[in-house]
Amino acid sequence: MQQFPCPYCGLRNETEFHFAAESGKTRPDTNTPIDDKHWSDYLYQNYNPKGTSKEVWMHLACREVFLMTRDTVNMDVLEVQALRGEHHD
Amino acid sequence: MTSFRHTSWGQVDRQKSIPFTYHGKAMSGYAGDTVASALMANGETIVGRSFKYHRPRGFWGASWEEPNGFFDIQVGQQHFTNCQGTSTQLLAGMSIQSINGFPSARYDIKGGLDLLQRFMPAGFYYKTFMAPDWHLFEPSIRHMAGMGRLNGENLHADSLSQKQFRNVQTLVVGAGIAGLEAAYQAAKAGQRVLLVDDKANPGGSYYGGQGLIEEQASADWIAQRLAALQAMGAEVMLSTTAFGIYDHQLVALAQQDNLTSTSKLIKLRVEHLIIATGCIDRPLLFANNDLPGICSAHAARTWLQSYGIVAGQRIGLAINHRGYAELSKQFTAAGAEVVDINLNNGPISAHGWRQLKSVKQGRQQHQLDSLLTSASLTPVLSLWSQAGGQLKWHAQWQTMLPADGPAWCHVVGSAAGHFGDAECLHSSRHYAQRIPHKDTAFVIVNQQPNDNQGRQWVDFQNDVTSKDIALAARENYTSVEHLKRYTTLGMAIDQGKSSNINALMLMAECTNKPVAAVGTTKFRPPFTPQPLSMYRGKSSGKLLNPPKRLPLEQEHRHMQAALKEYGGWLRPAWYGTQAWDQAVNQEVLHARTKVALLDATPLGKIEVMGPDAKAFLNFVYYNNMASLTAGQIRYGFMLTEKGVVFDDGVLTCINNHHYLVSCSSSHADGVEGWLEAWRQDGHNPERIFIHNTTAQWATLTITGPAAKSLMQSMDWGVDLDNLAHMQFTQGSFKQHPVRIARVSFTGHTSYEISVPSSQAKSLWHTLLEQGKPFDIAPIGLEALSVLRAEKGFIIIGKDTDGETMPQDLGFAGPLRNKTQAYIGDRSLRLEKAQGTNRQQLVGITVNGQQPLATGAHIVTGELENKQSIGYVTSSYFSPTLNAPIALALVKNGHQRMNQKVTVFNQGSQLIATVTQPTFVDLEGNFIDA
Repeated sequence: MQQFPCPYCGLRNETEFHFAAESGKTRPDTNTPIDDKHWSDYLYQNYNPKGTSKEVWMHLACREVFLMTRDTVNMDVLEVQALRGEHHD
Repeated sequence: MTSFRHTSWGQVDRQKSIPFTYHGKAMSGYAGDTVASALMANGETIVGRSFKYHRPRGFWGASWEEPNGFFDIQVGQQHFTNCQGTSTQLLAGMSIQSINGFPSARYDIKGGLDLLQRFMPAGFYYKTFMAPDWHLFEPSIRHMAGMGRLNGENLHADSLSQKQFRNVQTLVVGAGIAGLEAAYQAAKAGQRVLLVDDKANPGGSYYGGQGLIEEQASADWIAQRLAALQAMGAEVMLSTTAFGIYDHQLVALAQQDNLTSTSKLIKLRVEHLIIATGCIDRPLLFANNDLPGICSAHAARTWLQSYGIVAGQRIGLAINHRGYAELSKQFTAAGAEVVDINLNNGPISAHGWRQLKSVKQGRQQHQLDSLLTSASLTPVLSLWSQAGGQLKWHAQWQTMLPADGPAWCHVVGSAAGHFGDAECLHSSRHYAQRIPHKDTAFVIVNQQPNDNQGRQWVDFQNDVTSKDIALAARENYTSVEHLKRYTTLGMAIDQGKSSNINALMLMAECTNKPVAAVGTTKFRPPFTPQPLSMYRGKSSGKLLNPPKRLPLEQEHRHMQAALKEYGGWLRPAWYGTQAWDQAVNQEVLHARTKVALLDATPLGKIEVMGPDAKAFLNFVYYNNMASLTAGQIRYGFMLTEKGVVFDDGVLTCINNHHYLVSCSSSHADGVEGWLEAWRQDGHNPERIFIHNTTAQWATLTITGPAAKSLMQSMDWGVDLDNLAHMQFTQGSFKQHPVRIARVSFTGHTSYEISVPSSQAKSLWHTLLEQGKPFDIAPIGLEALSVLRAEKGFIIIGKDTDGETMPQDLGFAGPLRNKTQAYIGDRSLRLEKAQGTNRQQLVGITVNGQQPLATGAHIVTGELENKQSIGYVTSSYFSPTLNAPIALALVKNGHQRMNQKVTVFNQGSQLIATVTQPTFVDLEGNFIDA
């Protein structure tokens, strides 16, 4: 059982969290033409890195979405960052 | 082996006799005995049969490393299988049977299998029983090779085990002298310390011993350390096994006092872990080294010190190092004749039939009934390895030692190669500094691999010999993981605890590689077998997954509702005591002819507010929601980015900054999370706010031809005369707010009335009372399912699957007309989404009265050309039509209207007709009836 630090609630068991996406993906503007390749990359292409991975997670208990950088080899959590850092004291 | 009980030695309580039976024969032991020590005291020498050849075997180990003596044990009404004799405490009334021997280990009628051994090398089963089909041979082989037997009843599955979650600063595993000293040092440094040991008594190899520790009697030294720990507030837990290390410094502990007592699983989060798990003997390889009477020297010492069991009358010592200097003296003092065998004088071989009789070395022959062996010491490093610690091969000592590892873990004492007492205590005293071991402190006598004649057993329980390992190497199963699977080495109950190192050395020799290059198999938890019931604890049934309860549950029970689980909620399925199908038919007809009352409280109610709420919802929904004005309701879908329907429901516009998302009852949490994720990651979360108010509002639905009259007969503090279908208003109910929405899931005039949950009972009773003149009656979820299917209203996840897009359900409008971006939009324009071969929602009708099976396939072609083109998603008997109806997803379904199709289910076929997915009220007149 891993433990993740929610930026708002502190250290909690991994069962309270939900993985959302790898960080850094931007949704293409679908009001403009997007070719199939570009769109399918957005849907399906993930880096799934061995080592440092920056990801978007949600803490289900408080419903806050945050960024977490972790090491996928030794499971170390390297950094967490609230999506709204400037509003969090 | 003619083992016997010494008259005074050992820590058993000779005042307390413990009666038990072994294969029906009455025997007795003492309090403090294990099953193994009690059997040895009673002169039992053959206690197990090996797995493959049914060779007779005696006890070999001191505790969990024992590979031979496993038993089926009955205590009272409880039955336990494959209990390890050396680690199972003896209890009064135990009925003990050896396993894998018939009728008993001593008289095993399959013992003759051993004569066939030359025809049964490693891989024998794989090679021999391939054609025509392994499954033909499997039952008889399993019968022959099986271990303990479950008797099919009286299992201990019902005994409730407990789970505990806790943390500690420093966990010390092993309460031998290394562990006691390390725990003492950690506690002295101010750490919150927990010391655990899997044995019932502390002291490790010094328990019950006469030796000195730091010039003090060992028992006194141990007692002083324990008292000091207690004084400093450290906790000591005995009979507790640390069996696994998991992510983020979680250690799993299993605590159980004895076989029948309640077990406890402790999930412990630690800051520091000190591993003081000691070491065991590596078996010496020589011909017939598996004869009963040959055992680990460490084990024989434990038997003597703990239980007063003397391993034999004439004991040989074949010890390949100087780690047990005092053994000879100890056993002589205990009354045995001791013969020291110098392994430098050449290889030895054991002789005897079913029991050790003599040991030969060159021309020398010793008459012996017991031989204590140790090729070297093997540190117990399973936890270290699980924690991510590396192992390195120490060539001089022929053993694995800890190398680099995580900073939060420390290995001390003999587990780290500090084999002498002084080195051991020194390493514990300075555990944080990771004192390196001294290469000179321990010496292996004989470095040569033993190449004499006869079979040398590597894995005792699974009958793997040195020849089997050579065969595996010849057949190129040289990787340790392949070797393990090919020969079954290390796959027995003891998981290779005694056999691993010998196997690696033999493989290195066969492949001319250094041992370090052979590598090891991975150490995985659990370290010792743990019962599944312990992992489960109390987490089963309602305690595992408690249903959500309605505020009106008592009211439903009062009206004899059959309560079932729907999407996590305990809801009325139907009311009354008659057969369910009659009840459902009656409820459906009641809703179609009069007025019905439905508890719709679980319906998802998610409030979305804020200046950007409108734009946000228009992006989230497939349908155009931007044009929705205050008081309007619109049905719509939410899609995933892959264009697949994620949820359906209605959106209510309360005002331009305040919307109400109504989603599937079982899906409210999922939709809320989905909305939150899109709100925070992609929108400005300061301008959109989301609240899930599902539990705060109770919702009752009245539906049917008399619904409007009933509503108008009551005072809602607001005019309902002009409230049209898909409109919303707010009024008051007994001074409390009420939300009224005209939304229909039955096709008939319906009002969804929501009040604060505290007012649910009041509303329920008022509606039943005011509804009397209209003959109101409650209906359950089963009737609702039929009512909605009659109208072709879908349930997401039932009538849709992971490929269903909105156009497949007949909702292509927004795809053509909506101009703003929305989730999943681009996916709806992919080639596959636009293709002609999509599964589309249709109705299916069939003659007769019998509904189709849900899941039945719609097929084309005959016999081997038969192909599924879709399947039935919902199927009911419609009392309104007095005929069966069904919904189905069918390839190109929209083009197949009125075509005959074949419906196939479990070998039978029916002819059916494809229709529009609406069966009742095709013109939509009911909605304002």
